[in-house]
Amino acid sequence: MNAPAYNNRIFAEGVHGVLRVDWRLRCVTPLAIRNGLTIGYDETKINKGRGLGVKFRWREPEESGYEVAILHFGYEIADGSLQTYHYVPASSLRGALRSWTINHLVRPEFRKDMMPPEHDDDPEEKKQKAYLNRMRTALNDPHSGYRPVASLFGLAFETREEARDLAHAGRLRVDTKRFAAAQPRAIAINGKLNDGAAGPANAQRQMTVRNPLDRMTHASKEGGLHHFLEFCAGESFAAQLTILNPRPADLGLLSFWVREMNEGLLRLGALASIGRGRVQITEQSYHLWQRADLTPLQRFESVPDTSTGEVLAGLWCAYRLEAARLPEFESSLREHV
Amino acid sequence: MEKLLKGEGLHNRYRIAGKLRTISPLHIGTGEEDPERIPRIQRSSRQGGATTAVQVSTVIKAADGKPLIPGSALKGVMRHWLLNVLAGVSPEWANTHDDEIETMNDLTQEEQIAKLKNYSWLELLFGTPFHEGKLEAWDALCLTPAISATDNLLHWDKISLTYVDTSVAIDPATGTAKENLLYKAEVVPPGVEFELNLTGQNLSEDELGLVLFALQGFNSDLYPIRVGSRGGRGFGRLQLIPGPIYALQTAAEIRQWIAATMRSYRTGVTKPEEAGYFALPILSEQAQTSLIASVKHKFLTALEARP
Amino acid sequence: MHNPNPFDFVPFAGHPHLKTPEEFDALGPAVSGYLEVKLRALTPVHIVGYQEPGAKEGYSFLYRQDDRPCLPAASLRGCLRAFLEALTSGWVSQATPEYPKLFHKRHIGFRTFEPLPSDGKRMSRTSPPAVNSEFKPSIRPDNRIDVASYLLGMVIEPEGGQVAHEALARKAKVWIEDAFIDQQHLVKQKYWVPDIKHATQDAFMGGAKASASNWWYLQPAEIWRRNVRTRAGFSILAEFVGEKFWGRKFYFHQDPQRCMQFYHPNSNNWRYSPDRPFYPIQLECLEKEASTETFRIYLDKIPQPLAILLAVCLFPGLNIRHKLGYGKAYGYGSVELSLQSSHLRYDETRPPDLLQDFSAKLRDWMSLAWDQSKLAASEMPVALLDWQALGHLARILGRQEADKLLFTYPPFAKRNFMQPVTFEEMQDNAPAGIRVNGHVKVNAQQGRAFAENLFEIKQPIHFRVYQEKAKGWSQITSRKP
Repeated sequence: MNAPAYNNRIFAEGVHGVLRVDWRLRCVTPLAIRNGLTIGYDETKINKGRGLGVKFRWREPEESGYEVAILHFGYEIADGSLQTYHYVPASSLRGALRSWTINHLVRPEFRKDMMPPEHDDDPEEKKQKAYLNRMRTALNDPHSGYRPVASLFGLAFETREEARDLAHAGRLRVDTKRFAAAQPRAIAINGKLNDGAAGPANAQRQMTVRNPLDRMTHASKEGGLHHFLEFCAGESFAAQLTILNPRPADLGLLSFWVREMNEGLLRLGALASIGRGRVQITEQSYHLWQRADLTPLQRFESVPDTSTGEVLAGLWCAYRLEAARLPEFESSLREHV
Repeated sequence: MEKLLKGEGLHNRYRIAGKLRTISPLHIGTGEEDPERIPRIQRSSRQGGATTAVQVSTVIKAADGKPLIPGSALKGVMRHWLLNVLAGVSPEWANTHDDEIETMNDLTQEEQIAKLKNYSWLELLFGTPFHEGKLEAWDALCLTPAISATDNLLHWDKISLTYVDTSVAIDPATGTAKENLLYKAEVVPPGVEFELNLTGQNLSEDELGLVLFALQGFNSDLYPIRVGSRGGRGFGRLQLIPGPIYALQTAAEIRQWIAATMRSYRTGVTKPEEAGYFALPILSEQAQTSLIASVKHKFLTALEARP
Repeated sequence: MHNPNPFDFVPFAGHPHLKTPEEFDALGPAVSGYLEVKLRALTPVHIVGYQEPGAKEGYSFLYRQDDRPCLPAASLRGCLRAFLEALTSGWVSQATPEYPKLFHKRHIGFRTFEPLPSDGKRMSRTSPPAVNSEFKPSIRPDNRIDVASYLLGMVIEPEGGQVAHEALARKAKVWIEDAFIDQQHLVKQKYWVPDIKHATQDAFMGGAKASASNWWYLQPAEIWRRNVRTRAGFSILAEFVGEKFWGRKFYFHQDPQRCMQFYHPNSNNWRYSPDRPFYPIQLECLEKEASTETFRIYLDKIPQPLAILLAVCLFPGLNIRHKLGYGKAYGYGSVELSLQSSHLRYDETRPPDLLQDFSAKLRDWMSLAWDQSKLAASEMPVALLDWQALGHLARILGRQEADKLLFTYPPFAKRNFMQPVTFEEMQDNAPAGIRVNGHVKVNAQQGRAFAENLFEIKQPIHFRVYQEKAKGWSQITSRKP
């Protein structure tokens, strides 16, 4: 018997509950979340000296000067002025979760070519259509492992008309809070704090240098020296994951995410190659809010509603899952691969 | 109160005022890209040396160059949120009959009206492709004045109050960024305020309660209304700061308002704040709370009645 | 007899060993997880952090992160990659692309992977690529890459003709974390490297720089007649023009304290001048025999045969040891890893299994170094390895009798680097049957013959000849992996 085709009407019954996941993520190793920009800095040039008298300039580097790649930041208007702050964009965390999920849940033959083609590169939409066909094949196979990925992360296609029966929004929403340093923090170089703070001061940062050596001469490779900032180990930030209309398999997947993150196999940001981006979940809570008439997911215990001013309170009821029970949902996920 | 359409006389009218403040980055796109929003990139000599224009997805702006939340977007997200929350409560509250629209043209006007009155409260309030709803959302204009930045790293524009955000698509197969999937977009930062104005006409108490319930959806912690793109990635959160609700609720109030307005015109001393909506009674907070509580109670009753 | 030079070269194979990522993937079941290891200093280890100059000596602090001394992952990784590239005839992932002709500094320009055409002037030549261009990391139509890029990742910048999105990038499958050092294992005042200081110039003591005007880094190609103006007037000198890198450079292990003494002015082995005086740089080091704290090396879906290859590269048998960091030429940075625990899994099941203790299996893998038949039996694709290169690596990185041998740079002195060879001397010592009147091309054999004949006049002409005539060379050549 053929398996039923992929059902993209995941919101046909509306949104009848959310699983609210609150994590605090602490950087075990430095974390590099870059935004593709560099700033300039000065360094006192002393014969036989190195790394001395560095002063950062929070603006684009001058042509002849030193430059350092900076970390993701955003602006905020507060108290009538424009302020800057560092944060891990939600897209970064969401992307890391998505990549891990594809690489560990989806059958290998469906892992490649799962990126939508560039629109401008495909005037006749041939690539778009081929992409749509690949996705359709993957989704119509209930054991491809692609269904949980699509259901959580959503499916979007340029070829909208042909994809009407596939496209849908994802059930996962990711929000991150900014780093919250108790006091303004400067940039460390070689373990010492630099005098001149540069840019957002809500996270401890350090400047790291890479200097590859030419293989034949062991001299520094010409043009290879580069500097970059990274968030220091020990910095932490809060993240919220909201899963709409949660299913037991979602909790199974969460169990894997937590374990793999804590093991360092699911990392954030760039430069995993030099061990960046290992984070530990130091605090975690799992609350289900579900419409009052529905039976909660197994293993969730009813808890009093302590929300203040929540418009859905009363209409939705609150339940809680002990984090330690998350692995009990793993078998539900296995049914989908 | 019976179900009324917008054009069935003037039975009541409301203006709901307030502010919406961004609490996360916001991008309501125009669908267009601006190649001149940021300077061209100089490629290295190894990459051919030419300069390349960088396309930046632009946000929708008002005539004064400031960002804007179109009324249609506000109305759309409120409707979508209500539909999602109420879809399973009962079809009386939220339903969609879009597939029937084709057949409506074959009916007489009376039949059409009769049919529409069987539609859900949500459809009556927000309209369908066949009929206009009773709720209007005005374009939310930006209230935040021009502000300068101390750096230009993210190409801050002090008039449009936007910076340019870069996002990268990572190919899970290789684990690396796809250069052609670098996406740059103008973004309104947290802390920018917009003026909210909704008007409603011929609203039943339940419909007004529904609107107020939906507005609280902006401040929901569990399932907040989000505006614009990248809602799944932390964008589009707005905090509602409630303002007054001007309410013209009864026939007597309507008559009194007309008479007072006419009088003030005759005396020639009409001040703006005493005319139009501003001359209307204000719906008390207690009344608002009671309206929301009433619809929530009805939702729960409907849920209990579900088979 | 002179000491051997502190570094030597692993010659390139004819072609790089490449496969498509899919072919690598198919080599065996994927293994993921992490090893917990410590790095033990066989000789003191220094990675440069701050360097503070003083009046008579400088001080170099060990690299720090979060105010903790640290061997940065990038250094460990660079060390592993250089070894892996040499062992598997891989691409040359890091290379200075061009050595242009510079007035008064570099007579002959050359490029690493491309020919450098003659500028048409007299005393100019078209230099062929100094490394076979097949060894340049590139985006190939057949998508094949080297083992190191498959395991350690790659970024290839697009070049002129290619559009940006053809840039080829792969995420690393091996992730190495920083290795922190407990303060108590630091030694602050015991070790130094020799250097020289000049009042106005950025003088630096070290080996000769890569030049196509000698046969130290580049192999013999031609001999030229060059007129040179000296204080004594014009001289006509022989210039030994080279054109292909000898190979990939690695440093020998030795005892740094013995080596330091060699360079100390009191030993009179090395001449310092009043305007370029001895200027030691004190090094803050991880002390000999001390270990770092435990750190992790991650494997992300590595086919088992390549996980075995990784294991034997990280733990390279009884004799070979890696070198890391600053002062390698003076004996610093000899290190070995010790396995503390391993947490791995076969990553074939979906969703993945829990990590398990793989220590026994890992020790089995480590024990395969460097038995070709056993490695083959473990399904490791032994054809990927350049066994000749392994032999050369064993000679250079072998620790056998390392403490008895002393490796030092040829001094800037008579009969050494300072010594010019006149054209006439070269003519007088030309091998039988070769007449040199102007420029002459020489093959490998002829180049060697010239260098041997001229050895009494100048020792460091030809790198190989110099090494083979050095003290202890027979012990070095007897080293096996």
